[in-house]
Amino acid sequence: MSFAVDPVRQELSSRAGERWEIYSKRTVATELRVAAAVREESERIEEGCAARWEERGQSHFAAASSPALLSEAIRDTARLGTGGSPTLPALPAGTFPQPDEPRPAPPADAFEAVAQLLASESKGQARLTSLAVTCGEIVERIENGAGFAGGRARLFGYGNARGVGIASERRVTADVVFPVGPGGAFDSAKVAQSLADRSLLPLKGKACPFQRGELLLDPSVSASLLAATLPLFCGDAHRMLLSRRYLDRNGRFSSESVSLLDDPSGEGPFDAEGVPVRRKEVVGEGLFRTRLHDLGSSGRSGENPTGNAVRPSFRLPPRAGSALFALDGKRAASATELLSSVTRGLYATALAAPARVDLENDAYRLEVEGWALQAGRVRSPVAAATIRGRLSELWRGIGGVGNDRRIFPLQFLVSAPTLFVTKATFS
Amino acid sequence: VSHRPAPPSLDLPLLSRWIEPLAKEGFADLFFEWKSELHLSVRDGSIGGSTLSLEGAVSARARRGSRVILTASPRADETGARDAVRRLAAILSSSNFPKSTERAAAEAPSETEDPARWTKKVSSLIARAFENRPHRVEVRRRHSTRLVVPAGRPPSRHDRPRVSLHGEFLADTRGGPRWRAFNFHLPEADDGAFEELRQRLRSLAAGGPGPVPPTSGVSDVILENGSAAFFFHEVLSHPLEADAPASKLSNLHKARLCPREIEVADEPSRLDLFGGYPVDDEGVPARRTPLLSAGHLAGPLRDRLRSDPLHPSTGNGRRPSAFDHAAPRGSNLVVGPGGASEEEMLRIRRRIGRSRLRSISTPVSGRPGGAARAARTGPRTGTPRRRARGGARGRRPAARRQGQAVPSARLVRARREGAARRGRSSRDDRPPHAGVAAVSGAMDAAVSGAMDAAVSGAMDAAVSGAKAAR
Repeated sequence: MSFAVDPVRQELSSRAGERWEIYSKRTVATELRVAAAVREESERIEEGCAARWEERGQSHFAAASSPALLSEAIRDTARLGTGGSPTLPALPAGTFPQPDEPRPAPPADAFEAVAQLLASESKGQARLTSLAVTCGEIVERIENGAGFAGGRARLFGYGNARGVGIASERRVTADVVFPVGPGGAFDSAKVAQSLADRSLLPLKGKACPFQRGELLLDPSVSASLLAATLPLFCGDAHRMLLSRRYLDRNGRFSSESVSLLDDPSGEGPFDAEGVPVRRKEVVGEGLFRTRLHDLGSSGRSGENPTGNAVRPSFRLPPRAGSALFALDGKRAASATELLSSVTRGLYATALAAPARVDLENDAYRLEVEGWALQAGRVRSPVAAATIRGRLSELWRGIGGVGNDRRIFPLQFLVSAPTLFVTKATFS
Repeated sequence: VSHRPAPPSLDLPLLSRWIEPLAKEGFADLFFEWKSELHLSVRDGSIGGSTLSLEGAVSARARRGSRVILTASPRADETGARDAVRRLAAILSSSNFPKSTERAAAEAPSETEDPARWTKKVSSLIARAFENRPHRVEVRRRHSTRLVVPAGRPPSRHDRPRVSLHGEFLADTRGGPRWRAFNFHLPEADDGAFEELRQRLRSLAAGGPGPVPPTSGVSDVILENGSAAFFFHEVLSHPLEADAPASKLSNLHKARLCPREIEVADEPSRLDLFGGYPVDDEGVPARRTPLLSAGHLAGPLRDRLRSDPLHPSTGNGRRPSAFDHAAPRGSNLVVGPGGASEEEMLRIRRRIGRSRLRSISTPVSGRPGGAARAARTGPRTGTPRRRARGGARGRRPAARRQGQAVPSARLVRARREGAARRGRSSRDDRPPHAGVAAVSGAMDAAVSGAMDAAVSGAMDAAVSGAKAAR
């Protein structure tokens, strides 16, 4: 890494003594985006660093793309004199090994392969308009005035396929976001299948024939719902809300077939503030177990830090979150078994609009497309259906969990399987 | 703060020499960006926290046939540019590697503005506007300087200072105190945008009766106070981007979509508006691009990649940052004035009252006072052509049966008078084919391309109208 943070360290030491922290991040990424007539290749090296420190009873945050600019930003921020009132949390000490420099591998061009698979999957009714694959490596380093110095590195990759379904004069554009492995490898057959469904269901489908019934959520829909629910367990913002609206007298959050896990093992030995990480059960067999804290929220709530500080960007201060939030089933069944257990209901294969979850009012609204199911069989395609109700009732009404868990690159990584909900209302 | 990070002194002829050999079979350019963002959290008149970020980056880009390659570096100086060009040359298998520079980087002039002054002024402005009412406001002051060095063209550089506010305050409404959200963006002028900010906050705090849920089913809609810009941004500007996949408007070039008095254009050269710029991010001078001209669909928004000698770039090549490829994107959407006054449109409303008309309008960047009247359609049956002709039986206009707007005799008369004033034939004043029925004479609204708005059903109405017109 090219950062020379010595001047920044000196500046912060003179201002804050030991009450400072420097975070730096270097991302090396390659991207290949192929559209009908254009092939865009990118090779990016992005660097940034950030500082937190305490000065005159206020905590401050500044970020920049180089140490020289960070020194400037620190001076300007101090001149503003408008730091946050909460004091900087007690920073951890300890030393971790420094990671190697990233070595990205460019992704291979898979446009033709996915285009052919999509054409055969959709019987020529859908075509691929663009395919973008991004992969790279992130190296992060943290040091603070308490003596902590460490680094962590991780690979990342994600892709976006866009297709269009055409039937007579109607056209429907659909996107599928998918995870990508090292070197840009991904399951092209699954991407093509998802894209074919997403492009054609709105064209072929009609309204849902049922007003209420059972509900089967595809892993992609479950993942969005899970991601929208996570803030309930992070930090101290929704502390009272969780106990007031979502937990029963026994501390039950969901049906006993559901466990929610925070699994930061892929992130490295410590979180974005240098606190050691471990795998945690947030909800175990339906019962609420623990909250996820960064240093700030743990200090405010008087609970132990859990190593859950995340930084989506170097431009933002750390906050409580999860690197990988997973849903696990007690007696996981195959998706086919879950489908055959539906007597009358809806199989939601994809979201037609972002999931709307109102945590304050315990409400959710999912606009989905999928298939109407009856007696364990597909009855008809559904172009659009809205599922709404109480979020707490949805989680408590989960009657089965699939064994087909998949990872989705949303705002953070979410791992979710097919979910079977015993009662839902459609419109 | 607004002028940091100060761009370093660069040897522009040297940079041009580096990038020109890579443009042999297409084009090539260097793109620099220096930007700062000051974020303030204002709570009930006092600043609860602030963050500041300063960034710089450079990217080199070249096109060879259908292939476009971009390499980006986080150092926005000659060393960073050299690194980006060398990596680009390696990918292109070019032997034109720039030599290392020995020239010491010149010190950039240091700005002496006291950052605390602007902060105090804006926080006291917000406190005065909301008086004793509780409020939570996030203020973002962004300043970006962009420099484009295209091969074979002169370099161009421009600054874009902007201020964004979003938040909520406890407003007095008929139903009691309620939190009311707001969100707006301003270009920062020499005076720090304080005057416009003061006006915006004052009108916001003055408030109204508060939001009322919209009526269900089919109803007329007046898009006032710049809301028409949101409408056209979604139904017109995005589908007319040259890279829009499967755009429903792609085969309707020059088709008539609406009455002749409706003029909609993309105007990046309006620097008084939030989305303005003098030169786009590919070095092409900004110019006005009509999207709807006399009611007819005009050409798409193009960047250099999606242009040819017959259809040159419209000056809409935009990049979110130096790390991204350019793409054709809209800027300020300006809806031109029409022949009917706002009062005229209010008089012809049929199904909803004044209070509801006010509640459904969303203030956006631009001058208040303008309005466009649109019809939101309910579920339709039959083909668009049949609907437009009045159906098979032809008893009533199909638009009326389907709940679409049909102008009143008063509005048609006003249009004819307006058309006569402009020297046009009254035959042009036919019933509208698309959703928009009238535009007021005061309309001059604009909205940045970066804003998000969703207008459900509007696209279908516009496209079915266009097909009927053909």
